[in-house]
Amino acid sequence: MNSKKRNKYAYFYITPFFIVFLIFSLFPILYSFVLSFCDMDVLSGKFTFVGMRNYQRLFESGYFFKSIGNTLLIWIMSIIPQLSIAFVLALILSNKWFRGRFLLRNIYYFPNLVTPVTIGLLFGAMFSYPGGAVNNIITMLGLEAVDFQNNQMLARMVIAIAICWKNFGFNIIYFTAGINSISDDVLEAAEVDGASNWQKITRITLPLMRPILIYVLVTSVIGGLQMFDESHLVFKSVPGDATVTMVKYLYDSAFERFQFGYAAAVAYGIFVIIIIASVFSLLVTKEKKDDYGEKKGRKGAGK
Amino acid sequence: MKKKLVSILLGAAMVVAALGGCGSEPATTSTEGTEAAETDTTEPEAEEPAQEDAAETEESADTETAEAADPADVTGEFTYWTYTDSANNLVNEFNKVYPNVNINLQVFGGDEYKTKILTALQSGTDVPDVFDLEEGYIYEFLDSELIADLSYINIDEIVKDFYGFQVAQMKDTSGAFKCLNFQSSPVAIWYLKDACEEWLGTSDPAEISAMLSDWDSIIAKGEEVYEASGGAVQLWPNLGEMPKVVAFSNDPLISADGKMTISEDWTNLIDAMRTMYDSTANAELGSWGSEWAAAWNEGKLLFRVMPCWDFFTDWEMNKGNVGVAAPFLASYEGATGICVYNNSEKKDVAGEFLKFVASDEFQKINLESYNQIPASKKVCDELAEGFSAEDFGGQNILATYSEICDKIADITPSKYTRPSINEFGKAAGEGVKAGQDNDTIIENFKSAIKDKYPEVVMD
Repeated sequence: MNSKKRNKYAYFYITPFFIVFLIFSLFPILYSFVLSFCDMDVLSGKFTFVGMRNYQRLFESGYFFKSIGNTLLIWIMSIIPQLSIAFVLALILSNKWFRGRFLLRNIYYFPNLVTPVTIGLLFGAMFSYPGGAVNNIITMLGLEAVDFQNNQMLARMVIAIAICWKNFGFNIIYFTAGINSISDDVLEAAEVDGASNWQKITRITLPLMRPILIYVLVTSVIGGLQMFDESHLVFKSVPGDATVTMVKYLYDSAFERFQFGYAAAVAYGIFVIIIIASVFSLLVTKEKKDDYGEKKGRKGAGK
Repeated sequence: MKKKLVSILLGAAMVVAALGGCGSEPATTSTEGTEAAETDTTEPEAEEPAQEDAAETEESADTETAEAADPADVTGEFTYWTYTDSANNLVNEFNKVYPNVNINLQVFGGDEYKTKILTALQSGTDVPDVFDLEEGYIYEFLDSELIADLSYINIDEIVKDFYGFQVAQMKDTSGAFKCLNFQSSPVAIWYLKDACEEWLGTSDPAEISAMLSDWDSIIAKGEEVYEASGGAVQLWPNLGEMPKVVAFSNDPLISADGKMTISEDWTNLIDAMRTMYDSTANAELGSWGSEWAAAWNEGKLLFRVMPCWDFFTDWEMNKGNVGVAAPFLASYEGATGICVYNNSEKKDVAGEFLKFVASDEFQKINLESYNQIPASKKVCDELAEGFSAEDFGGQNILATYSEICDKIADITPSKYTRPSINEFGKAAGEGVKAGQDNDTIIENFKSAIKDKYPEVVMD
């Protein structure tokens, strides 16, 4: 059997993926794109073409832009500690002398297995006022209980903590894989050259983990900008809609007010924002070139 | 050749497996393709009273005959979707009288239900014959032709003894009856008798209602209680429960045709909320939160504003110690409407079910066995005399609820009614806490409505 014939069979193997992709991904994408130019009757599902009206409404909606700000704020508040904690713990857990690292890695991963609904309700109860667990500790310390829900920044912070707690274990797995993929030879050579631990981390580990970092950052941007469950469930109502994220705004438009056409336009708005954010994060992490047009850190490689 | 066959089979198996999720759920009982849904109308009834309208008589002939027949002779089956377990009570009681009607009841919890019923109606597949819709979104649905006009079961006659506000709730914007609200959910002030005895000097519902004749008297009484208890006990739960009291006594903020009018009653409410917030009467414990429930169950919070259904009373701790008093204005919250799918082939037997739950007989059972307040004023008035509820220490709660129901305005809500009340309460509550004046609060409210319902016309 020649290779051309064998290639034909490959199409059979990839067909299921493409059928599922067409039905469950491409069709909804195109359907919602058409829907975003229409109004849809709630029950009959009939479309009425309205042109750019939904997009015009979207651009004029201060609430949508506010939801973008809320999402970015919560995301930043969550991603910085999330990646920092995950990286530090991954460094510690990658040390071969560290006993119990496998157990700890699993324990840190456990929050990722908890459903977002549970996390939402758990953090809502923990940070409730005045008698939640956190406030009980605060009052035990002789301080005044804090009304997290009625303070915009504190409410956002609680949601960021919930997201951080859920995801840091997941990122530890990626970072550990990245660290373990670095050859011991490189690190040993650095040690022979007299590099300190800090220098090894900043000059060897971090640069060589760039692909993993980019992957984690881009997936965090995409996932973070789609945050919904925690913001929907931790606090029922926060002053000034401070915890209404972009996807929560979309959800309310579609499933609270049944404005499916507008919700589709919101979805495309979110899509554009995620693309911009992803491209931005790729640019930020792009390898810089030196004066000779070579990528920094790769000079001489392959020569 | 063998390899080719294996690859084709593998590919086909993967496609089938992947698409398995697309198939419709297997019905728990088979209702398709049977003729069992037809109501048995074999027994003639010659002595039916003549109808005023001849056409109406003809239209409802089947139903009437079925009504007159022995319910045991009525056979059939239909599917009923709901979001509340209490629908089991309806089905069980119905089956005691109609043993040969099989109801395939399916209960879906949480937000899943709304999406599920919406998807079913939009697609037209696996649509239940009968389904419940919750007050929060029912008026987005009622105008649809997919929901049957209940005139086919002579609904005017069936609900003639119902409270006016209940009848108003059952209509769409054209005035056609599209759902059946078979029980009332009036809003009352819930209290613990021992706590009120201690801090208000009485646990009598009438005396408590008399004490709370307007917002000023509520706030003044709350400040007295706070002072007397040394700050340990507060009277009012939070600002958010104030709009609940006035919701259906004030004129709607937005009419069915989308015109916003903010009457003086609503601006007065903002003033009252501001005074409440500045007073020691207000505990500002978030409704339905654990602290809110615990404070009330422990007697540290005197009142909660709740409809007649309540999930937050610790009955083990407070059985016999709970009381309900009528607020100075009347309202309701959390009503459920039963609808019939217009394209259902089982509308007749579904109609029998609706007639049963609207009947005096079931209204009485629903109160006596399940503590639900009847939608029928006639039944309420009839049972209110000498009624006593054990959980409420023998209080005649029906008399209290009847008093509230009698005062609720006959307003047919629209899709704007409840969301606009909620939005107003939110804007007023947040504005008051942020120290905003009434104009700013109203501007914020308008801005929120404009974003959510851009078609609303504002003055």
